[in-house]
Amino acid sequence: MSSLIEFENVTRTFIMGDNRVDALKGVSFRIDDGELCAVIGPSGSGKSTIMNIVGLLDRHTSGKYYLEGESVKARGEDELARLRNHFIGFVFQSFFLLPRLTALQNVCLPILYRGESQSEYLDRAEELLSKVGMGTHMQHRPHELSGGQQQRVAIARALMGKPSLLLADEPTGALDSKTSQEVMDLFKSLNSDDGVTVMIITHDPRIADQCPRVIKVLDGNIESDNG
Amino acid sequence: MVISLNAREAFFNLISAKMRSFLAVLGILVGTASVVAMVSCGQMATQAALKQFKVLGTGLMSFSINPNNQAAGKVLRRFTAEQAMVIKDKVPEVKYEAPYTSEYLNVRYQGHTLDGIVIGSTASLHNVIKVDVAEGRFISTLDGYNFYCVVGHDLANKMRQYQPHLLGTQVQLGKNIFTIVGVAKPWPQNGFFYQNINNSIIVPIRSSRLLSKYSQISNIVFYLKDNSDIAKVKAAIQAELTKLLPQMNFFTRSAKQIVESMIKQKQVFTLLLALIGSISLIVGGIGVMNIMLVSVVERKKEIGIRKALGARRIDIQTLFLIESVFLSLFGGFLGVVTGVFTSYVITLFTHWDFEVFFMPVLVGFSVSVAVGIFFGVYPAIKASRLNPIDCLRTE
Repeated sequence: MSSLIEFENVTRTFIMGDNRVDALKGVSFRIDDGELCAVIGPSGSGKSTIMNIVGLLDRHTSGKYYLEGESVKARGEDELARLRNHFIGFVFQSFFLLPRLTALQNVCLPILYRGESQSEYLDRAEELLSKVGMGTHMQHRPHELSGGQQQRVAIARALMGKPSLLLADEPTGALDSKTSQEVMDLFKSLNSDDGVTVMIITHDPRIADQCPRVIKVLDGNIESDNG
Repeated sequence: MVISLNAREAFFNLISAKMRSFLAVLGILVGTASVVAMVSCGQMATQAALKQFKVLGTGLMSFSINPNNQAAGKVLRRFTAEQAMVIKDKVPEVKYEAPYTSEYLNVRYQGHTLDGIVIGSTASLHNVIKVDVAEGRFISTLDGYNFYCVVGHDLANKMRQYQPHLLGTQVQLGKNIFTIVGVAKPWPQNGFFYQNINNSIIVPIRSSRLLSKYSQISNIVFYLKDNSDIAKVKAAIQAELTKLLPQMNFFTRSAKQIVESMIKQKQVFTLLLALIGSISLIVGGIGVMNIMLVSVVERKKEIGIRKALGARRIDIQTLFLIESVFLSLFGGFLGVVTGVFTSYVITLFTHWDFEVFFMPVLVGFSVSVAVGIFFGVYPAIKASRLNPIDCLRTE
């Protein structure tokens, strides 16, 4: 069986003027369907670079990246956008909901970029919002919601396009510990009950400890990987 | 579906940035208004210039008769009114024909000397150059060699200083006494009849021959039937005249040709005005571009989020392009209204007839929308090319 995500000796080099920064120095790992995986490491370790490359927001310099068995190296920008739309569901530290849209409209956004009629998906969007515990706040705008609530809406949005991978970048970084735990519980139940593959980038050991698989990154290399 | 959603979002984005949107709309408004007002005024000026032809019609054609080079200095035989009137029968396109003589003579009325021109005319002059009488009657074919006359409007006013009731009184023209049988209404001057009727005394053309030996038919005015071929009629009349007067040159003016050349000139003039107006529209368009560029910078994060969620370049471009199209549609609409209003105000000062023209409104509106799209494309492309990571990192 092929992995969902496969990194083979992936490097990422930034050239800034005369400086050459090797953010990733040859990283290899595989993530299979249904895993709940944390990527941890101090800031500057390269974990954000991993997240950007996995999320197809950035391109790797050398090595190989297979998403569902397909190499993503030679894809055009619009093709990457299509892959992001179909395969990746993003959850960001500061939620990144669009302020002028309601919770429901925010959740529907990934469908908009599929060029499909949103009205056919309204039921699904409502179902997802109920699932993340936001069924009573569907017509609220982000500024009317607390941080934890916004993150729940963001998770519903990430799930809307039925992605292969839920990619969370410091999802609890802006939340207090109680809300953090609630969000983490949501990830865990999505993983165990619905089989959603989740990859969490974090520097919080309390989050990482709850994940069966932990990849530790340090100085652009994988320090340890229990998978 | 995607377009309508984008349109709704664009609308709310513009509403939420009121001041910015207002300034962009203002730029387009001023530009469109200036195009509409300038082109409208150009057209109204043309209409005003053509107004005299509305009264006279475009069927007017005049012939001046002058001796040619070989004939210079000789005393030439001219033709009589009867001979001249033959042309109307020979050239079927001629509806009315009026040969006339004109002579400066001493005009004495109630013992006072006045300046005036004596015009010898047939009854048909009334039809050709639209001379109407306010009192009495016009010259008639039956007047023959009788010494009857019709006084022009301005000259009549001068005469009334000495005698309020002109009809039936007598006026001395040169050495002859004429009886006033009519007073003309004010007459709009035109370029086809060389004398000012308002300041003239009209007498029967035969009688005019008796006033002075120099009184010759040197001009003929014609009124042509509708849709006549000007060049053909001109050639036909000229041929007839040449038969009658072989030693003469003829100089022709046709209302239709003058109207055509006037319209052509005014078109160039109007185009020039439109170009000047377009400059301000372009400035307005640059305003839209400026504001959209600011908007792109301000909404970088939003662009990043949308890209992360799978927006392609074209999706981002559409989002921004719709906004600039909205701005220019709105500005264009208000500009058309303002432009029409401005041209109305201008007519109050210039005394042109106000009219709403379809063409400048259509051109002003469509050019403003085109400008909006043109200047919206660059910011939209710029937005769509932004790197999603950089966008997401902006605070």
